[in-house]
Amino acid sequence: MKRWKYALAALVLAGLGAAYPRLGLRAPRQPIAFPHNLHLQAGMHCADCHRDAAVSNRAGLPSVRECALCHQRLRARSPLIRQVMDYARRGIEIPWQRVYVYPASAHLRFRHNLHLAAGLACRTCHGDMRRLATARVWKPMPMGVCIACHRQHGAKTGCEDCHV
Amino acid sequence: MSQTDSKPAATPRWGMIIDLNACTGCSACAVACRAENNIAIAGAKEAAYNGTLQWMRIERTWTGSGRNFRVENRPVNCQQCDAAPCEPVCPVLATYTNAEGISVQVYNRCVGTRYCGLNCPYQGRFFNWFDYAWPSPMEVQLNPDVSRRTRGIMEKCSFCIQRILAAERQAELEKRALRERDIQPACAQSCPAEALRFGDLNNPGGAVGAAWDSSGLEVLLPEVGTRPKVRYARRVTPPDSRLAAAPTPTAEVEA
Repeated sequence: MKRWKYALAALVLAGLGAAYPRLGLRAPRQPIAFPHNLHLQAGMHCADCHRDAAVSNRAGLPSVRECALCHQRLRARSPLIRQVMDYARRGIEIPWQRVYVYPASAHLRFRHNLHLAAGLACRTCHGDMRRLATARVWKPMPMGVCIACHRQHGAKTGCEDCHV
Repeated sequence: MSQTDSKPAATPRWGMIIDLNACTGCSACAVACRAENNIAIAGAKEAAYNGTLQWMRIERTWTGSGRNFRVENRPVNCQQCDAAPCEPVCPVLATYTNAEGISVQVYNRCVGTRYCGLNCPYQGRFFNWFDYAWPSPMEVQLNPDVSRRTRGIMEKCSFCIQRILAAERQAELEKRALRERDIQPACAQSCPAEALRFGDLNNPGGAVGAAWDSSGLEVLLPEVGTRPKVRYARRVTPPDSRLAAAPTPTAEVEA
């Protein structure tokens, strides 16, 4: 009887483990462990780096040259900053890995600018990045989450409005 | 839909008039469409099996002979039928007419039965038999506003719905009514002869809305009763004075 329960528990755990990446809670390994929390605590805002979010579909990532603007001097001796400056010196962009990814089969075109214009805060979907160092998916975002919010706020709910 | 205040009072109904008198058959529309909508190039081998993807094509017909020889170029895209034969046959509701009259294809819902393609009398639907490649420099020109279709799904002309949505949202952000002139599909925008005109059929003051019911317009295959929202301005050939003077009684002058 007890062995049966252990087997069941193991099965449930294995199932959860298998389901975890499918939930979309990705935490990809980044080339440099970028600390979001430190930057935000230093008084920066999301849009300082993810500058395209207000005007474009994509939030965008800054060029490594923009990192270098501050970090030429700021904490220049830290080993991580040295790596950043190394990229900047060689003129190579840091190969950041995307965190929020939808499968190609979703044929989804998420538009950051419209959601910002509608008054959503970044943290509504991306969580409180002040508590997080390297980015990871904060909560799963299946279509039900989108639809619930769209219905609540009277936004469009046609298939073709997002899956273009 | 609970929100009505942010939308214009009348929902637009999009349609297109293609002027066959102006069309020169240059195929700029077909090229522009391909670029705008990330349409894959299937290649020569697939083309031999009729497997190309071409949302906008030029159908060329030759009539008459000798002095009466005429070439007619007819751009044909999805005719955006009001009674679309493709829609009721889809088992997963992946295609339907939206509120603005556009027959949309929902790529993520499509399972690739191809019933819609078989039921379309205009051959306006194209099936992705493979995951088509975009060789290295070509992927740079992919339109980020349009998805790259994957293997096993149907695709078709959407009246460049991404442009319509963008213009509607821009109008919403600027808190003004939607202006008809802000929206042009890629084909109409690229046409050097301005043969393709796109507009709101509910706007009687617009270029397309005003001309929509005129008798000079024809639809493709009216006998199948699909009620397309693409209409063609019939080609009018002025009588040739040289032909009238000619004594040959066989000369058929199209008046």
